[in-house]
Amino acid sequence: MQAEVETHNQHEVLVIIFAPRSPQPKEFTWVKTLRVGEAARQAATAFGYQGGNPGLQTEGHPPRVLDNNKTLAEEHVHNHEKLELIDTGGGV
Amino acid sequence: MIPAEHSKIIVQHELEGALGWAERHDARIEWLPDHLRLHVTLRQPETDQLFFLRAKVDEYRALPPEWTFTDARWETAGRAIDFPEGVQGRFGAPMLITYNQKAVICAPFNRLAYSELAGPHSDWGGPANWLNAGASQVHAETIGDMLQAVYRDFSLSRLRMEKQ
Repeated sequence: MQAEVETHNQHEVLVIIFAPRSPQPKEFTWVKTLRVGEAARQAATAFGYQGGNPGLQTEGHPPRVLDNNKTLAEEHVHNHEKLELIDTGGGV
Repeated sequence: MIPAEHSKIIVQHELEGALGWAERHDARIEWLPDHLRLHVTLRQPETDQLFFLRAKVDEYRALPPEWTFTDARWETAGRAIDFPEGVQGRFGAPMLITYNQKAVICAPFNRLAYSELAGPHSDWGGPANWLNAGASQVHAETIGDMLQAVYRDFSLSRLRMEKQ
């Protein structure tokens, strides 16, 4: 049973998402093959965002913006990683 | 006309999230409720230089704030010397631009981006339409979201628009 759970978890990643509008982060468990853009959309909805162009960035200084078209695995998102919601729309 | 007390209550509520954002990004927010102003000190990651971002929030949320970078005394507005350079990044055109010889944060959530306040945009339906303006442009509806949007382009910059 334990082995089954571990096998299952190998395909998933638990991510802690911060949003600039919320004092508290939220946790999400996603399959590693989920695209970053879809994960960002799910997180944005959970934080009450409507519309916009959600994306995710790392905690670094400066932060690294993840590619919405890549999967979480391709962007090396690891278990318990902290990410922040951003909007990826352009200026001007 | 939005009563000042109304704008104050909204900003104070939104600051709960924005203060958490500031802590995560080495920024400092000062809220001056009697003046309906926010003073935000940002540190440019590449150079460690400080920049001073000011918001006037009278009429908020009927109208978006007036966002601009200022001098260290929070007094100036629209001077290229106070602005980080705009960098063409993965998000397309930068939102830090000059227009009619003034530096401006060009995004729907900035009242100063609208032609009614001498900004470049007459095509966004006026400042009162800010929540629906510029669908493909960067989108931000709360103070915290706006700070993150500005910081996104700010963190790519390495210089000022004009040398000190």
